[in-house]
Amino acid sequence: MATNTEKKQSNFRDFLQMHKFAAAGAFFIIVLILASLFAPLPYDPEAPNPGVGISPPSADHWFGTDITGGDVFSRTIAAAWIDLSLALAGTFLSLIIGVPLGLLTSVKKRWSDNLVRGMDAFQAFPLLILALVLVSLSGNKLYMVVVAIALINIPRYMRLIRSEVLTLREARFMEATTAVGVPLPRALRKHVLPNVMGMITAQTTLTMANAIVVIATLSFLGIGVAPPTPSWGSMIRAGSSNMISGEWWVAFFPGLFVLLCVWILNQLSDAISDFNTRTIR
Amino acid sequence: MVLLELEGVSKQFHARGGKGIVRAVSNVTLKINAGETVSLIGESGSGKSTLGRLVLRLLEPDEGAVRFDGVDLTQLSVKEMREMRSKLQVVFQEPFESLNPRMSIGDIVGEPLIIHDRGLNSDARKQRVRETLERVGLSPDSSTRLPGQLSGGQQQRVGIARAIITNPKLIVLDEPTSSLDLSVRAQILSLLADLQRELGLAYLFISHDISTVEYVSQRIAVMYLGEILETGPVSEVIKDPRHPYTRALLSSRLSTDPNESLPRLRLIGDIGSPTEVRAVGCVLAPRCPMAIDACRSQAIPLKEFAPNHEVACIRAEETSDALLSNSISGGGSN
Repeated sequence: MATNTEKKQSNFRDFLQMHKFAAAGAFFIIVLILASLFAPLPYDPEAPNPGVGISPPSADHWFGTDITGGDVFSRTIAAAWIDLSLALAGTFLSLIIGVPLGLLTSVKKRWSDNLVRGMDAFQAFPLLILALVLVSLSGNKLYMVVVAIALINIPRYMRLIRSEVLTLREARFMEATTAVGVPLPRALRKHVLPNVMGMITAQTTLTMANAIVVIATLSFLGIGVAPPTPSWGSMIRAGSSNMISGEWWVAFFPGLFVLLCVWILNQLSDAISDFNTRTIR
Repeated sequence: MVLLELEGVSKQFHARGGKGIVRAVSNVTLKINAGETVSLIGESGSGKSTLGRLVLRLLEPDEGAVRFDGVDLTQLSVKEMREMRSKLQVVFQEPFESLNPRMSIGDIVGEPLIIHDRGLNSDARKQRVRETLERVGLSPDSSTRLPGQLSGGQQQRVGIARAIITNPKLIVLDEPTSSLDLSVRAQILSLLADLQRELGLAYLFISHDISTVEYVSQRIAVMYLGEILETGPVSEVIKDPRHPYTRALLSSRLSTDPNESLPRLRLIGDIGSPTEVRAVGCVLAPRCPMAIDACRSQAIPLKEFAPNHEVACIRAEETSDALLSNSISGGGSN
C-alpha cells in the first residue's frame, strides 16, 4: 500500500515527465533566484565603473555595460532576488487572504454577496494607478509594493475561488457529503479545498507573473525599488534612453529576463491546470 | 413495523425566471416497513427524486411530516438530523459524480465512521472499511485508489459501501442502476438484494423502469406530476393495474411473456407541465383516454381498492373492462 508521501512524490515525478518544458522553466527560475543570492557575480552590481563607460556585450562584460560602466549581467542577475522575492511576497499575501475570503464568501448568502460587490467596485479602480499612489504616499516603502500587489490580486483570488466553490457545491458528491452528515468545516477542508487546490496553484503562478510585471512597471516609473539597488524595471528605464543611439543591450537584457520569467510562469500555470484535470480520470 | 411514514408531504419550487410555481411533490402519503423495498416509479419530472430528497431532508418539505422510526425528521435540529443520518442513507444515480474525485476509496467509505462512530480508532476504522469493501464485492486493496480509476459498476459499489458502513435501517436508492450497463445492472441489483437480506435494510427504490421494479420490490407507488396515483403490492399492481397511468406505464414496457394479455393503453400527448395552474380534478385527466367529466370537476384522492391496494381513480373498478370493450386502447391490441 502506498503511503501518502509516496503518492505525492510519484505525482511530482509524473508532473516532471509530462511537462518537461514547464519543469525546466521552473528550474530556471529557482536557479536564477539562488544565483542572485549566492553566486559570485563577476562585478559589483551596485558599483559604478566610470573608467569603462557604456560598452557592448563582450567576453569581459557578457551583457555589456551601462552608461555608468555598471556590468549589465551582474546587475540583471542581482535584480532577480529583489524583483522575484517582492513578487513572491505579494503573491503569498494575496493567497493567504484571498483563498479564505473566497471560501468564506461562498458559504452564506446575503453578506457575502455584498462583500463580493464591494470587491468588484474596488476592482473598478485602475489598479496600477492605485499601486502607484499607495507606494508613493508611503514614502516609497518596499513593503507597500507587496501590499499593492496583494490589493490587486486578493479580489481576483476571491472571485475565482468563490465561483469554483459555488459550482462545486452543486456537485452530486457534495450532496452525498450532506447525506452522510459531514459538518461544514470538514466538508470545506476535505471535499472543497482539495478540488480547488489545483486551480489555486495555477492561479498562484499567474499572480506571480502579474506581480513581476507590476514591480517592473513601478520601478520603471521610478517607484518602489530605487537605484542603486538594481531592479529590472529601473534598468529598462535607464537603458531606454540609450536605445535610440543603438545601445540596445542596457534595456534588452533586463527586459528579456522579465519576459522569460512571465512566459515560464504562464507555461507553468497551463501545465499545472492540465496535470490537474488529468490525474483524476 | 412501520419504519418510514410520509404524511401529506408537499414541496414547491419557484419556477426558473421567477414566475410560476412548480409543484414537485404534492400531498404524498407513503409507508415503508422495516426490511421492505418500496419502489417509487414515474417518468422524469414526476417528482420521485424530489420525494427521495425530502425523505433524506436534503430538501425541506413545505408541508407534512416525515416520520422515521417514530421521529418526525422535519422537526429535528440540524445537529439532531446529522446524528440521524447514520440510520438513513442514500445511493445516487450517477456513480462517478457522487464520489469526490480526489478522495481515495478508503477515505470515502470510512468518512461516515469518522462522523458517526467517534470512538473508533484509525486501525479499527480501516478494518471496517476493508470488511465493507469486501462485502460489496470490491478488493480491499482498492481503498488506495481514486474513483476515476474504477469502472462504473465498481464506483457504484463504493457508493453502496459508503451507504451501508454505518448500519443504516433505510437506504434511498435514487435510480442506482440506470446509468450502468445491463450486465452490471443485474450484479448491482443482486448485491442490493443480498445486503437487504443480510442487514435487514429497507429500501426506497426510485426508478423509471418498471421491469427493474418488478424484480426488486414488494410494494410499488406510481407517481405522476408530484402525486401518487396508485400504490399496492407489486405483483397485484402489475397483474391488475387499476389506474390508467399505471396501465400506460405497463403498456410501454417490453414483456418477456408472450402470453401476456393486458390490454394496452396509450396516453394522449406529453407529461404536463408542473407549473400549470391545475383545476381541481385528476392530474392525469388531460391525457387520459378514459377521462370523463367527473374527473375534471372534483379532487380525486387515493381510495382503497383492495387490501393495501390504493388507487386515485374514480373509474378504477372499470379500468380493465373499459379498455377491453371499446376503442380507447390505442395502438396494438393484444
